[in-house]
Amino acid sequence: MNTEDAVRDALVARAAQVEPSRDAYAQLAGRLQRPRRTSWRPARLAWAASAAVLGVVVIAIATTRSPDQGTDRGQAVATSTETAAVATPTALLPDHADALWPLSEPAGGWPSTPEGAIEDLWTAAFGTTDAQIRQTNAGYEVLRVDESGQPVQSSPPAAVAELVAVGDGWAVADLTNPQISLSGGSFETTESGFAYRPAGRAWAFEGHVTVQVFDAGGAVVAEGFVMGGGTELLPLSGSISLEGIEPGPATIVYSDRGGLGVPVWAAAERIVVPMH
Amino acid sequence: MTALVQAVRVDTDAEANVEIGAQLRRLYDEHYRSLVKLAAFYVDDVGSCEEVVQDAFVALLGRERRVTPGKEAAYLRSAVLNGARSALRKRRVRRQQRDQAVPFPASPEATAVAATERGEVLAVIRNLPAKQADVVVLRYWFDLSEAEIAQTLGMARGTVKSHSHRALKTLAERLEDHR
Repeated sequence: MNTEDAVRDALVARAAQVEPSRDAYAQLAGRLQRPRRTSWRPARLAWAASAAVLGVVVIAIATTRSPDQGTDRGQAVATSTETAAVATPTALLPDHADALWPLSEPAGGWPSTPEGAIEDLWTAAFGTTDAQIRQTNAGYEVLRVDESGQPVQSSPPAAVAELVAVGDGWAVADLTNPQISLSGGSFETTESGFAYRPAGRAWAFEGHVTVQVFDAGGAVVAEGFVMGGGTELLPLSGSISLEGIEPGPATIVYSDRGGLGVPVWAAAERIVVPMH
Repeated sequence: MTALVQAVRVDTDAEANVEIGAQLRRLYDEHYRSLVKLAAFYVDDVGSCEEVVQDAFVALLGRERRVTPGKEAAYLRSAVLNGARSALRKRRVRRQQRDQAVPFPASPEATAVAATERGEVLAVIRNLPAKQADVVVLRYWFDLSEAEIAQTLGMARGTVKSHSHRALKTLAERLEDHR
């Protein structure tokens, strides 16, 4: 018996020992009828509500300070990490509540098509204008490209985008994929400065997830990487320095560039950088 | 107006439930049994295997954004592999202890020697790098094509081929060492 036959024989023998329970279908149907778990949207709303409430507190404290106490940034930073994390004045909120990209109306107006909004984001993040996009029931799928920049039709899409109508155009409202799962992050002030620590899980080439932070104008204001799993989905670890970045809305694009430097998987989230 | 909105919402929910129910029946009939067996290559007891598979179904059918039609099977296989591997990681220590003590339970028709050899093969597969093990299981038990494995594992066909080649080479070497 050669190796392949031995492997097949062992696997078949193992499979033959296992049979599902007779009431498996009823169990499964019952599980699906239970209330669904809270999705990311309520979680984000809760985060935003907390930020707004505590932001009001911070503003109230700031406005009650006497003029001789000064208002420069150095003193504003002298707060706890928690305080810094939630200082989100209304003026810093994005132009449109659901927009992830663009965050504000570009000079030429909002992208006129859903595909145009996705292409704008793709071009800004990956420098490629040949992203191939197709509309499916799941949303707008962005196909992977190979090292020559050609779309790979046979592979899963690099990301699925949700779009939202804004003004007379479109904006990307969400960009997701199963390999980089984001669940909101937190701001922190450490010895090395002000930073954002993303939360979620990823499975990327050698665990390496590239991170780019874009301001409301679409310019890259910070870059770095965080680590996920290399062989399985693992929690993200690491943070991205936001030191010196102006407060305001920002888009963070996470990507697995694989071994070839092209976007294999991509996801994005919107944050509002607080005063720090 | 409020009543109308509520009625429309209820109708929409009911339609969605009917749709999910039909999809569940079809996916269950086509894939559930084979997925439980797939999980069994990583997880020991049937109850845990079923839990992993049911988690995958719930993730597929309970999510707001649906998987593209035609890709449900690949999604389920991928979710089961991830879930089973996660469960395996939690139990690895216990499994290693048990593998050393009782390599593989013999099936009624198999001899003890054959069962032991199969147990050794399974142990070697489980100790392969994760992706290689997944490729081996999907290829030699699920009989998936390279393209289907690539879709399930989110990798290029060439990568599937190289994982398969390396896995077989390692298996041949390690099984030779055991003989």
